[in-house]
Amino acid sequence: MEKKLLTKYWHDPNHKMLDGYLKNGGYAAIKKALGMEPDAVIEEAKQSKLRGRGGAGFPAGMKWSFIPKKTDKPKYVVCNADESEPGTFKDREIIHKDPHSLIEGIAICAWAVQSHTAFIYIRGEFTEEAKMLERAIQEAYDHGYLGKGICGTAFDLELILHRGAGAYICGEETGMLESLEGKKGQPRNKPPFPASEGLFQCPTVINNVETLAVMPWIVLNGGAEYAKLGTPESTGTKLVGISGPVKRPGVYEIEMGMPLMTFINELAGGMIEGKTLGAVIPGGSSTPPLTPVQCEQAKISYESLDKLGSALGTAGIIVLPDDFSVIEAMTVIARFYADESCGQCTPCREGTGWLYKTMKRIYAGKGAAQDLQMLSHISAGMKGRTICALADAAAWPMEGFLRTFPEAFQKAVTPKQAR
Amino acid sequence: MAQETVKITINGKEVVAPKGTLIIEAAAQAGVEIPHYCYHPHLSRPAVCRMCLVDVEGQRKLQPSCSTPVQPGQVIRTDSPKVQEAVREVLEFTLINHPLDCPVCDQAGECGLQNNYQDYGLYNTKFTLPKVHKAKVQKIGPTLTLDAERCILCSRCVRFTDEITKTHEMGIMQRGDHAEIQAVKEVNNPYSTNLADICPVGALTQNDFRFKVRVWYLKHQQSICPGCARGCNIVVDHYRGEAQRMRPRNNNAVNQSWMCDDGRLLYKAIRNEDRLNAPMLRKDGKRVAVTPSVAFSEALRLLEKHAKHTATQGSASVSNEDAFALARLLKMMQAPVASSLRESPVGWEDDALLRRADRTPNRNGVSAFSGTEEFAVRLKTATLALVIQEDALPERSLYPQLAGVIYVGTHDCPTARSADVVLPMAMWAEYEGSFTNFQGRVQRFLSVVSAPEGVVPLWQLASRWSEAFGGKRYASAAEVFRAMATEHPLFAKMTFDGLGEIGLCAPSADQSKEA
Repeated sequence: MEKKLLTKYWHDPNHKMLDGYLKNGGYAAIKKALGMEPDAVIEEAKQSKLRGRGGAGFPAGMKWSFIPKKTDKPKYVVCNADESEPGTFKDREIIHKDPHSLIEGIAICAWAVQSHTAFIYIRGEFTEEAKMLERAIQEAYDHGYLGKGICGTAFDLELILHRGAGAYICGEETGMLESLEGKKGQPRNKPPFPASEGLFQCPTVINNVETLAVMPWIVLNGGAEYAKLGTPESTGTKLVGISGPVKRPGVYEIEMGMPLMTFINELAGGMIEGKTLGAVIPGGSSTPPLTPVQCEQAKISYESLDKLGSALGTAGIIVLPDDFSVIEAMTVIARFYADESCGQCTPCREGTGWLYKTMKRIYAGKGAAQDLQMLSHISAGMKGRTICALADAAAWPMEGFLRTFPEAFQKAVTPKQAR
Repeated sequence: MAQETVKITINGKEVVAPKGTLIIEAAAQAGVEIPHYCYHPHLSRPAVCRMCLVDVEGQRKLQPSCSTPVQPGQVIRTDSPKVQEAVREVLEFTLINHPLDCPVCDQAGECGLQNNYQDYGLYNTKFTLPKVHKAKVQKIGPTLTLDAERCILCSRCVRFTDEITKTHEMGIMQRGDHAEIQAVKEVNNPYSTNLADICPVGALTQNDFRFKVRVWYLKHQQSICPGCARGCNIVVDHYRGEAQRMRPRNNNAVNQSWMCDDGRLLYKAIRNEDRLNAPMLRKDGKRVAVTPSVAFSEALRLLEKHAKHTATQGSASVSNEDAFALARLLKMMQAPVASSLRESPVGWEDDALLRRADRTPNRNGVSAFSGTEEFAVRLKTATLALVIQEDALPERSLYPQLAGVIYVGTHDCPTARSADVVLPMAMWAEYEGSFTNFQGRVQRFLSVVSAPEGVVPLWQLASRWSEAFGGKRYASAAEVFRAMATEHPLFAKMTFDGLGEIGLCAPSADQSKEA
């Protein structure tokens, strides 16, 4: 059922320590990579057709190949560990159970793009995880997997752990770069893209934790082998988190393309007693919800969920029971985006606040029929008009909820005596 | 050097623009105005207000024209329904938390929000929820008042203090719709008032101008700041015959879009209580007011009598035309053109931005018509002293051989108090003329308000006196300029009207040889 590439040794409590990791074959991939031409490593990554696991799904190998070969500037690798999309907790599991695979993945990436300085930007609230990574990084330094001349070669690699201060927007790659530079976390205009002008205006690769952590497997087994798994458009395996009233919530590694209901019913054990499936948010709070009928058709892949008007996103599945309050759920989501908008672009700054205030009024039972048109109007006005995707991420669930649960909204704005 | 150009189409019209030009700038050159708030030609471009979105063929999303450079063959629309809808909706977002206090807001009439909502017809708000409230009427420094609630977070002021003055007083705190502009320390830099100019709304207003005049009553005139050798290009706003405010005017070669706080207040000197408004003669040790023609004739009598025994103190504050006409008079009188210029008052140094240690506006121009002989040296033997503007002879008793002192100036001073004839002259805002700045750029200033009755500029006095010595009387500043241009290489090939809005630089010696 599960397809364990990344999670193969997660049952082993020693795996998170260097000894255990080495015993399970760890750090073989970086040694192999260091024996290859950097371009050949990029080629393996390209062949794997691995799409970035941070949510946007941009091909990782392609991203690496954009880094200029000839440049006078230093190059940087930044690992995005600012996992804060509501419903998402897969990167945290990797850090808990397999921190060295992340470090090894970073080293592979650094070698591939010939960077000597890498950063892990970790979410501020991940205090325990920061300590775990700190310890793992120290172990790697102590045993020559990081620092001067890694694995006995002439290749130097410094890895710096940087803690965020609790802003969702710093998970947006250019907001993260601003924050890493010590500025207020506000996304940058693109172009220039980070591959040409990223951290400190130098070429920079930014990859998600899961993307980097699976790289050792790809290097050891070959990109082509990885691409055989999953579907042609969504290759490989995926860590999928599931929360809500299911019997076994958690993180599971599956081959891409698994039917959503198979995942929910078999891996997650189905709904807990007395609860019926009402809706599923398939990929973190910014992805529009699916109805039970849509869930029957859905597969866990980029293309299947796109086709259903939602998205794979971070694959943080939120299961909602049929008795959940649509209005309350949407109010909570709207509040999140209103709170997390960085406030630089007008449509997002004002739109997220307007959505939340309107939802709050409806939730308080003071909504009016025209509020529903207003919610659509605000969402439409926010989309595609800002520097980063936060405005879109706030508008999509709003539009999705309105589309999926029109009766609930209608009922919420109808005066009680008229119901 | 031919600049590479790019051909693009804006709203169906073909436009040629230099490579690297931003779409918003190329459009402006083609006469297409794109609404914007955060964009400013002399600041970085964060593209955050999202008002300047345009449709670029082949791009899925609308592009911010303030940060997108033109590309060959680009087809751009600023008037498509998609763009119009986007601008209208972005404007709507901008307005939802903005207080509707236009009637009591001093920015009303020159507010970017008002102008645009009238253009886009957003008269009725759809926003029926409580607005976000922020701090109002904050005195953030000696020159400025901040109303954070009116701020639309365009960040121009933050960028100005970060990039231009590098004093970093302004910052945006918090995030989302609670993001709030704040002064993190007292805003007290020499260029602070520019913040009020660049603020597109009524968030930052200038203490000196707040609630003085409703801006729609103001009339505007192009001028040059007389505060230092930079010669910042300015606009003087006036109302009922009085100057009310000075604002910088764009001239990339001189002051970009800025001016300093000291310069900005110089209009006050026009109505200063020390201002000399009427001619005076000294009779029995007392000064008595006389008519302009009496004072003029008395001065002329002295000039004719002492002629070549006159010592003259010139001024670097008068116009080129003034200095030229005075030099011509002195030559006719066979008096030495001894108008050595006084040193500028100390206390100011050149700074990295605009201000020059030389606080006179026209040393470069006046020097062209000045002799070498020191006034102080000449005074020892002269029998008549002609002092222009400067307080150069505060102690007349040191020179007992002086039979007469004529003072021509704008404000009272010890020299004026000991003079036999005091002739007030018009100030820079009261006549038209030109200054030559420290770069050698000849810049024109126009008459803003009228001078006190009977008060004329120096060139008129000098030209009328010179009639008595067989000279021609000039009818206008343009005519003086014409004569000056034929006689002096610094003004060769220039005409007064040809100076236009941003002035002209004299061709360097080498270039004139080539020509």
